[in-house]
Amino acid sequence: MTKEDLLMPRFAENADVSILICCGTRCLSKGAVEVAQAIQKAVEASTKNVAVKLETKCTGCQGLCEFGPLVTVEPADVLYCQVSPEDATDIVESVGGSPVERLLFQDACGRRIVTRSENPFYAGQKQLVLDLVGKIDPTDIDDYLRNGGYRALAKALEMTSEQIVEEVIASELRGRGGAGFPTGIKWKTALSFDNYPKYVVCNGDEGNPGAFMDGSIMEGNPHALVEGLAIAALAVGAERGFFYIRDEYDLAVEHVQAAIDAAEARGIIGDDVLGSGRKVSLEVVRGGGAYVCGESTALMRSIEGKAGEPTAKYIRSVQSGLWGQPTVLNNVETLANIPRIILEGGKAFASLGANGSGGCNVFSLAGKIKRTGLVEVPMGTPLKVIVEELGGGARGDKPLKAVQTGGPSGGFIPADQMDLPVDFDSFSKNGAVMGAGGMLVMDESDCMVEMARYYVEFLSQESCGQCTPCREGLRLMLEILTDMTEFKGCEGDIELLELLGETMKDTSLCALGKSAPVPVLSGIENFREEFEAHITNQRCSAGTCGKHRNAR
Amino acid sequence: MSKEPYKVLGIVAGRTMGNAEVLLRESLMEFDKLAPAETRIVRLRQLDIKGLSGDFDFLADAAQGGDGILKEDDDFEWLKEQILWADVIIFAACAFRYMPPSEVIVMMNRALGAGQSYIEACRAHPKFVGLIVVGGTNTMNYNLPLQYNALHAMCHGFQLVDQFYANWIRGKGHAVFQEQHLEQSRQLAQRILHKLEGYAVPEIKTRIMKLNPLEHTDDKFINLEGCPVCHSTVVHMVNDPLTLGQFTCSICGAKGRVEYHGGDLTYVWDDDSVAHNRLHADHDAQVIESYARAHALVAGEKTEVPEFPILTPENDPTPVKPRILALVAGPKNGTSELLARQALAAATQDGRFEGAILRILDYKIDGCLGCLVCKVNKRYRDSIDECVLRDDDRWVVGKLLESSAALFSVDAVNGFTYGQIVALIQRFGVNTRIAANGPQKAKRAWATIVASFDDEVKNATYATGKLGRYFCNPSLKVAEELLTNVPITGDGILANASALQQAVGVGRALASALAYTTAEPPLTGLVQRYNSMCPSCGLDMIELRSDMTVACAECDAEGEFKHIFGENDIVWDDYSVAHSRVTPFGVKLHVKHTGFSQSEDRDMLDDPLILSGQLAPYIEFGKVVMPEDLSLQPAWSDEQRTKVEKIIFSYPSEERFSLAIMQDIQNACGYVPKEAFPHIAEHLKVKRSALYSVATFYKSLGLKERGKHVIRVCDGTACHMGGSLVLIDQIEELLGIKPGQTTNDGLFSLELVKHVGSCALAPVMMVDDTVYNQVTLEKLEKIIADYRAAENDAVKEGELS
Repeated sequence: MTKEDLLMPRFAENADVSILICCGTRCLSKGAVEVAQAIQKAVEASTKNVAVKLETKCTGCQGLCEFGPLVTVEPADVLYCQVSPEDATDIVESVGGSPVERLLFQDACGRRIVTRSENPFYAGQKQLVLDLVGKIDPTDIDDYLRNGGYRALAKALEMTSEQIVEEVIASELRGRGGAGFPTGIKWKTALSFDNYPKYVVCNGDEGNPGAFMDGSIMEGNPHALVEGLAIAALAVGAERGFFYIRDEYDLAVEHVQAAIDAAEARGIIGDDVLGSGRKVSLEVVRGGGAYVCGESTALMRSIEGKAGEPTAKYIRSVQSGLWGQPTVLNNVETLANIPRIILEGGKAFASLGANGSGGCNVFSLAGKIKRTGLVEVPMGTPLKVIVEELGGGARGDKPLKAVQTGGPSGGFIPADQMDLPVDFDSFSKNGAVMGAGGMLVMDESDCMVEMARYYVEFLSQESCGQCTPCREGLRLMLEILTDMTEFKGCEGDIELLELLGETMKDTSLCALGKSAPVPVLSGIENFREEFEAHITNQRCSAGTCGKHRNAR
Repeated sequence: MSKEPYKVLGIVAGRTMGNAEVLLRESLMEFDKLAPAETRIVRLRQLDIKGLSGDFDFLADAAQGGDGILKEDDDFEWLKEQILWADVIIFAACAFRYMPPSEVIVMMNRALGAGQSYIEACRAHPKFVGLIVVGGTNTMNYNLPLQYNALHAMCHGFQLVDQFYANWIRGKGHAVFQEQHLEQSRQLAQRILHKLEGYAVPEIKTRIMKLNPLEHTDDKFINLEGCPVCHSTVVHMVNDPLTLGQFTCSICGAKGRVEYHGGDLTYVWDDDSVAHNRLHADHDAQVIESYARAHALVAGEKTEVPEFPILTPENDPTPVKPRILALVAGPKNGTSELLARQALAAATQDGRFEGAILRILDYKIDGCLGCLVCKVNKRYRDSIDECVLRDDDRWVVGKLLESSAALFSVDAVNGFTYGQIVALIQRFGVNTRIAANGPQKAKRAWATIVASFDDEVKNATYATGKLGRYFCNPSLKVAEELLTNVPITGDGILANASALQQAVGVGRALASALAYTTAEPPLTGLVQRYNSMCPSCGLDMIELRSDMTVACAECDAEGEFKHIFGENDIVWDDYSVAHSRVTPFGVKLHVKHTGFSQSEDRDMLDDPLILSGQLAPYIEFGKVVMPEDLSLQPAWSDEQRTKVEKIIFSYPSEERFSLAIMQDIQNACGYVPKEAFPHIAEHLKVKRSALYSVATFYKSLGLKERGKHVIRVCDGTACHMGGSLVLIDQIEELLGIKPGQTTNDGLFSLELVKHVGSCALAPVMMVDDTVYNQVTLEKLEKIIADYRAAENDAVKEGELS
């Protein structure tokens, strides 16, 4: 069979109207399953089916989580919010006619907005990765194939390894896991080693509290990742790949595993990739719920079945990773971009971004913001646009205080720096941490000392305890910060925190320890007066410290 | 009237869900299918049975009319109950070093102190028995007889119905692919059932597959000739040129000979000795009588025996002169030790050598686990520390290797020797130390003294012989003295001039041999050989086969009974003698045949999908019973064991699956029971400590049992900002538990988690797998109340029904 035959969807699409029910983790917890069942029933019962062919689909995350469960009607592009099973009949009957008014999204002025393209949350986005996440049925390989799936893999098979790597270098794609290392360069290095077998690994261990984009991509479009990882394997000359997915993401594990099985059954990957004779076999490894396993060396030890303790990186894992062999480790979002780069060319991808970061980036918005959810914007978009235009600003119209990016070991961006363009270089120039893409918005009711204490507590629990600066440094920091939140701090504590932080940055073994003091240092740098007020005046402007501290 | 179900007890020695257990379960399943039966499985390795420590006071008690029970703090009493319960016993064991695993021997030793009333109870309710021996290699000659002997010690008066060897099963659990052996297992069950129902059962024909199935496509079975009483296929040749062709059954003592009639040779068993064999009820009391007789003081002049240093890890001087080490297995200052001292005195008389004593019964030597880490794992090759078990074995073996000559002075107890000796052999043998220090390289002289209070001493030489052969060059066996009917506790042996004189002879032989071995050329052939002794290893125990051929029980050299010059004698086959297992050629051949090098084949069979699919029904079947103190622990219910074993065997044997296995167990059981660790470690061939480090590192794994419902409150950043701590406080108020604790009624456990992926809808909590978002205090109370109500309903329903 030819490649084309293999990539042919087994069942052609024949529906005129698709009703897409968001079945991402968050909508599921709001009862999306019941909604889907009700809509399916309503479609079966409806007489509409004779005139227009209707189908229902359960898709991945559609983005606007705050207002879930979400339902989109295609091709009219109508978005319904907070749908309950009772609304099913109305939605189905409205197809072809006027939309159900009461379920439409309401903007800040109270206007009802019908389509997604008019919706402020979606209008400012450019969706490269999220596009299909909210559109296709993740458990159906044919749906992916109908949307141009696995064409990039077919194209990559006709290219040499060097050509693929060159294309990725040209795309200026930077690792979306947080460090922002150019993906093409990483692949090139791995390709240069003549030591087989090599491995490729997809890091789906999204441990950052506050971030959920990787999980959503894995749930919503697992085939793109299978395709991306398979291309990575072709590019570096690997035959085996692993998805390392955190165990708490049940749905992601299930969908990725199903995608691998389906692709293998169709001969798209496996022992004979699309009839080319190449071999790429992929498997899923479940993580064990350790934050440190997001660190590359720890992750690899975890795949080897050992405790996930990081090792010193004298030799990078592209040279000596899994079982001592060259290993390429890429983040979920990075790999999800690969098929597009191969299909549309690196140049086109690079032109979407700015300042040396190609393409778009996905952010998860959470915290004190009106519209929480997933957004994807081109690199270089100012922070303000994301927070205010897409997210609708702080909840309850309270003044915004800071945006926290980069997870527990990321920093705070105070409200006066909202013009900062979102890309790796601009962020690091300004001392902020881009991170994987979690964005937490904080308002006046959030205490920075408490946030710093919270992050340090989190990290001290997650520190693997191997090296002294990280283990003991975090323990000391936690003691000091806890004292401060209980108004028991004393003169010189802030300076001691700074000293500890610098030491940890310089001497810790792995990235976790090196970046662990960042939230404290960044907090002190931007909100020093708040820290001082806790010590000298025993006062907390947010009002969360002092009395509540007996909680634990 | 419905019949009461038959009570069938399966006893298994070897690995958990190893091949012995698979075949045993196949038998039990067949039994269960054909007749109403209650089946139980006892895994000997899971029991704590203490071996003999060298204290024989219980026998002295029996000699004075007491019951003769040896009381220890172990599971032996429980095992006795299980055996008395059964109508049928099916005993399956694997083969290590051509012997049953040491736990079988320990059980056999321990049975000496079972007590007279227990023996009578066994005799009063005779059981039907089937024996299964499983092994990975060509020969297991002496396994079935030894297993029979062990079971006899444990359960007097049983009737053997069927027995078979299942050899050439090469990987763990691979018995499921061996249809012929599965068929034998089913036949065994059918025969026992026929016997129970009173039908005629065909005579026992023991067979063994001799050819390497890798090289020959046809399975070729060799029919063995069994003793008419105990069906032992191994006999002792009578070592005398005047009695060529005469032999004694190694287990029951029945006598036989080879006779020549009309051009054909046949085995003829002596009716009188068959009728008065050692297994007969009349002989039960004889052990006690022998003990009493032997310990009646021997009159005569007492001799002084010089003292020698007793080696312990604390008192462990480096030898100054070539050392003769006496490995003593017996009571402290008992006969074995006194004779060893006498022999050492004779050997060190001229001051060229020094002597030392090592009391093996003082040390802990665990039996081989059969994990094969030492063989499979290349990292361990050519290293002296290859065994994963950490006990006194290393030290003891180190002492043996350090010495220049060895004297094995052991007691024979119930027809064999102590479990420690067997464990030492099995550990020593499996280890690749053989290659480094074994027959090819070592030049050490060795001698044996075996003493017993009764007349069953020969079998013990099988064990000491192995010890010698693994430790030394076989050709340097310089002396072997067997002392029967002597006291073993040391009383009066100093007055037994002839015994002491025998020991002196052993010592002198050792000294003169050592004088030769320290100079070139090495000495050979000190032991005078008769034809009936194996020319390759010098043992006089042979396996009888129906076609009048024989094989040496130790080294597998082959021969044939021939009628020559009017005598019936064994003619040994030159090729097999030169390639026997104790020769360098044989060692190589043997390593090749065991097939461990043929990794491809193993990989194929280790395919998890094939193997686990086949194993699943076996794991599900049956009830493994354990002593109270073990089964009382709620941690390890029968259901959990089944679940856990199914999970473990569904993964290939690779270290990288350790996390996945434990996660599956966590999901299935709610925690990782500590009993699961040895099983996982065994399957993945990793150390338990490594598994433990994994289990304690990852948050998703817990070692403690949790409540029925697990409440997980997310304390990720968004939820923290959304007030997760308030939820925690509220839960503490409602249920009285803090994170990491479980309510007293076992209904709820509380855990803090970081991040469940629903940050947009903070605060989030989960109960079991259900996610609740944007939780408020009212919502929380309702959720908990709902779970409570559901539980109460379930309880009520249970009460009503």
